[in-house]
Amino acid sequence: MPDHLDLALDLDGDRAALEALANEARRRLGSSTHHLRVGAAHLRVEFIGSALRERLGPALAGLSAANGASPAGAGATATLTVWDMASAAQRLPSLSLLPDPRQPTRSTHLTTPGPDGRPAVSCWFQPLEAAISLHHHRDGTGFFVVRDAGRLPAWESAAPLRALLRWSLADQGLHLVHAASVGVEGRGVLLPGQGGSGKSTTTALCALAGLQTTGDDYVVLDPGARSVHALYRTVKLAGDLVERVVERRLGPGAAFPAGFEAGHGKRAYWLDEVAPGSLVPTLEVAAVVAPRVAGLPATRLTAASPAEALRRLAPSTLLQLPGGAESAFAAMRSLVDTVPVFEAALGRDLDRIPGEIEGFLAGLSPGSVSRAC
Amino acid sequence: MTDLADQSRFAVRSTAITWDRIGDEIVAINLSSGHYYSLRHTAHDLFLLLDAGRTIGDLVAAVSGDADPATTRPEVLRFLGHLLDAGLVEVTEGAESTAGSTPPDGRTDGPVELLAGPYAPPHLETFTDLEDLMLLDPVHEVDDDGWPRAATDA
Repeated sequence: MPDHLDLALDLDGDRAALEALANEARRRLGSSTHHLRVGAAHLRVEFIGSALRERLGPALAGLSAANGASPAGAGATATLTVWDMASAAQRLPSLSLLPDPRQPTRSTHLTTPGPDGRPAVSCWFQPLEAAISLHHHRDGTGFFVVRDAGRLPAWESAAPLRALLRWSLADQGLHLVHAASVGVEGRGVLLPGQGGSGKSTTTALCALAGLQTTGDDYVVLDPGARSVHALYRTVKLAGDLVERVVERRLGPGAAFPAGFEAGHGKRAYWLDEVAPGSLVPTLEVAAVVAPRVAGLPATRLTAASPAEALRRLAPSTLLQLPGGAESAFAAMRSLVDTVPVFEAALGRDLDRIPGEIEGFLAGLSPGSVSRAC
Repeated sequence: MTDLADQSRFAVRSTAITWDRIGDEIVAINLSSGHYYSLRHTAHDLFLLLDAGRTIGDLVAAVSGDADPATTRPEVLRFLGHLLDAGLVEVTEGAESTAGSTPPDGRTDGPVELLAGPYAPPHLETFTDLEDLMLLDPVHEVDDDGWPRAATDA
């Protein structure tokens, strides 16, 4: 984004500063290395100290600790280093990527292009979270550093490292999108929609009813394979849903995980704890179904245009997740142009929704790539 | 609105605007404002034509069909004003400096695939429901540990 460039920006210098801080923190606190596999991408995630590993690590689906038989960096497509400065007793140095209160307001997301015009370095400063993400696309090196793990808002634990994961996955042709997915036997529907559309509720109900999912809020789209991969284990539920549906399904008096505050009146839980077996690594996308809360007697699915599906999927993805807009937009456009797209006006009888989705999926011809409208 | 001559040309802004044509619709997102847009019918064709570097005179001639240009021209100009206000496009140059040139983003003056339906007053359908997701966070001070702080954190 050339309009974000300014002469004072020195992201190579910022990287060097962050590397020096990471080295210092590593010496003080030690570190643990994990693997995160998402489709063909293999990310090496190093947590320095324990604070952020405990805060952020649990949400990552498929995160596994490195062991002696598998060298930590072998075959990794990116290496992400994560720590908090409070644990390392560090003070933030002057970095060119940081907005300067004395200067005109600029975007807190910056990308510098390389000689080929592709992104070379991306960074994002989140003032509310006091967090910095910086990623070098050329060698797949990323840093995520926060001021204090203890002061990180709770919602960061539900979908952590979004910027770094978005950038490093996009380098592999995979795109983090704001959507849920549910399916049966490896084949499912992508559910785009902003907060309040019903996608999390639909996902939770389906997962509790035995359907599969790769996530309720963010999933990783492989446009070439027309599939979505799981990145997070999280499912966010409104309190009334927990009381009215989840506890009823688990039986009277059944223990339900405590979860944690996820913002917007919801609590976050781990899918594989509240609905064991529901979280799968990958689902083929047989259709895009944009839900909306309609309060009808029964859920009604109607064919929609690819453009309408794109409007449901792309803006909320691109406005929530910094950088890589063009390639992500192209990926989402490719998907909605090659699978059937529908709108689901959700019925008020929540117990019927999983069966309605399952019946809809059964009615789609396998391998269908033509539009249904 | 900017005074526009018949030979003025436009370009879709190369920064902060992501758009594509899909079916009979153009979907465009302004990553700076958080607004997104749908352009259909005549608006769809006008957007493609201006992106191809056509002049205002070309635009009016291309979309008017059987309609009277005396009627369509002010409507096209009003629509262009809406595109400019939305930050989707920018005026490149007047006819004197760009006539016969290739538009700056490398698009050519070749044929543009239009819907070519009957003229309808062009409309920019605007969606503002996601503007709260803006990634621009003003900072107002730097605290003792060197961290810039947003207003909500102050």
